[in-house]
Amino acid sequence: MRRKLPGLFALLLLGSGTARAGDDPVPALFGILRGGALAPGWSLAGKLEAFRGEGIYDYMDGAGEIPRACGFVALAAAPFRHQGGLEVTAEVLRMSSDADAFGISSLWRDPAARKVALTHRACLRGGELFSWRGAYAIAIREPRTGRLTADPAIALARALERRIAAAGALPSLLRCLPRRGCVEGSARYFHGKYALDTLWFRSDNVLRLGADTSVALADYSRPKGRAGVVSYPTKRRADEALEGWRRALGAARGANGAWLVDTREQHLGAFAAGSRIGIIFSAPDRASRQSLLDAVRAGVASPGPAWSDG
Amino acid sequence: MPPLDDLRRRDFLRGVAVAGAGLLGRRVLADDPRAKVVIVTCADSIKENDQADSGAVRRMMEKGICALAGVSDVEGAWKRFIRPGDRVALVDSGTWLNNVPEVVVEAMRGIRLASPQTASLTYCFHDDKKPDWMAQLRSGLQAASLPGEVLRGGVYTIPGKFHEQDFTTIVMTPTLKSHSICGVSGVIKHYATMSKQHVSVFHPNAMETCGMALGEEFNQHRHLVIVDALRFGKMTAGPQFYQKSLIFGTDPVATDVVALEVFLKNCTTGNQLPPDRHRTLAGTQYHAGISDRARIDLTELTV
Repeated sequence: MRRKLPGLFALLLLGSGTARAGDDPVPALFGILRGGALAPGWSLAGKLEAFRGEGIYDYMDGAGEIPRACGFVALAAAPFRHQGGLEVTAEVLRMSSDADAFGISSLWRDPAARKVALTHRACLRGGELFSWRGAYAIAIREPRTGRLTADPAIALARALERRIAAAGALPSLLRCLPRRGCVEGSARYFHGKYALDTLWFRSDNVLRLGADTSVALADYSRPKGRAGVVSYPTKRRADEALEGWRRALGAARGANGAWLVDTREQHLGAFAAGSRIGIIFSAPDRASRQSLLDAVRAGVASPGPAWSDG
Repeated sequence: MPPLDDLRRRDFLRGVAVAGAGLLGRRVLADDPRAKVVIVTCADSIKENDQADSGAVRRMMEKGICALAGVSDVEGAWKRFIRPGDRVALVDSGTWLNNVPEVVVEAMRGIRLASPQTASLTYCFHDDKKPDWMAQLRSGLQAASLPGEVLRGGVYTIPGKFHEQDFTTIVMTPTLKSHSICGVSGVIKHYATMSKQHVSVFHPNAMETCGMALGEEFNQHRHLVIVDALRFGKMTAGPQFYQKSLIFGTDPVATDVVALEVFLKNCTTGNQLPPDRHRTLAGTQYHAGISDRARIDLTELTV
């Protein structure tokens, strides 16, 4: 949620929860980065850079497609040096909303990586630490050796997060997904096809994803599989997308309006409910698919409580 | 058959294929000469703190180029690929998983052994972003008695300006890493980053069209690819595995196919993107080289 803060100083230093059209996000991003120098043992080691919109390609080229598929607004980065010798780059991304900050963080993280308690559950893997707070996602990277010393990196992330006012909330679309059996740290949220490609690749945009669609999905251990919900602006768009999915995959009609695909390795399913589609992207057997279909259908009809972590 | 003749023959056959489109095209390409790729591995080449042994890298470079050329004399080997009238661009690995500087230095040293007309190290805008890396590179060039004037910024920009230059030969030293939109980056994707079009044009659908840049924009150049596989990367997280190899080839597609094969032995992509897809399409759709693994002869050596 966006907060009103008194005074220009606070506006420059404290990030808000939701981007507003016309705001220049860079002063706030720089304010957050400068906060990193307050972390014990850390100092800024170079100049601050900022990239807005498609300018992200000048910073991370193809990898920039993933933030852009998640509601990217702007990125600022700066090198930091720790007195112990560790040198990192800290990136702060301003996303369109809290949900989108969770979203890009969810795409970057690895469910198998070490989890770190910051504002929200953060992820430390190899040379990278990912966290988010409010409408901001944070990445701390040590790309030279791929090794990041945990304690100083966490202290730096914590100092950056202190400059962001609101903690932020997870996407409400996650409430349509079952919590039971969900693999910890596996929930993802995004808008565009580039992000879906990393999780379920098809060369055609069969689900007709774009900036005005939202996807929440998660992995499940019992029953096993990957399930998701796609939200469209209208029922008609959802129906068209399901029809495209059904035709492209050659799905057969199942019970309760579901469409089913059975291959030797995977069992998929999908159904439409209003402006949403529930999808089982993969399940190892028909029984698991059916259990997941039932659970997602129940969640879409009657969303559960807000997720506190994904 | 000498490599230069190989290249001329392939160009000729490609021309025949185009001229006889529909009648001979695919058939002639299917009978195209086989590609040759050489892998040289040295256990002492690099430590897992990313410190390379320049002597070991030099020995790897010499062994690889000689094996690729099929001769035992190092200078003679480089001259099989670089001619006196050539204007050579040595292209570094670009951002994120930077080259081990010693690899770039040794590649430039080899190029200059062949005495081309010009040799430029067209590095990818590291001046501001990677000053430490540039300092290491300059120091390495000096230690190898190579003039700093070979460094040439402003060509390998995004989009690239190679099309404005008169280079005859591209020598490149790409690295491989798992990648969030193409599965595993490598040689073919690297050419797309050098394109006169912004590389984002090639991004959709696991970068399925990235072979177009190699097949259409760089089809008048001769190519020597030296994959810096001393270590493989994990997206933007730095090295994930110290492979300690260099991979040599004159067919960028074939070299990329082999490099991916080596990558997948010990590394993961971390996502569901098919890393072989753009490589296969580079061969089958854009006719930029040989993607059929059955037509690639592989020589594996150790130092």
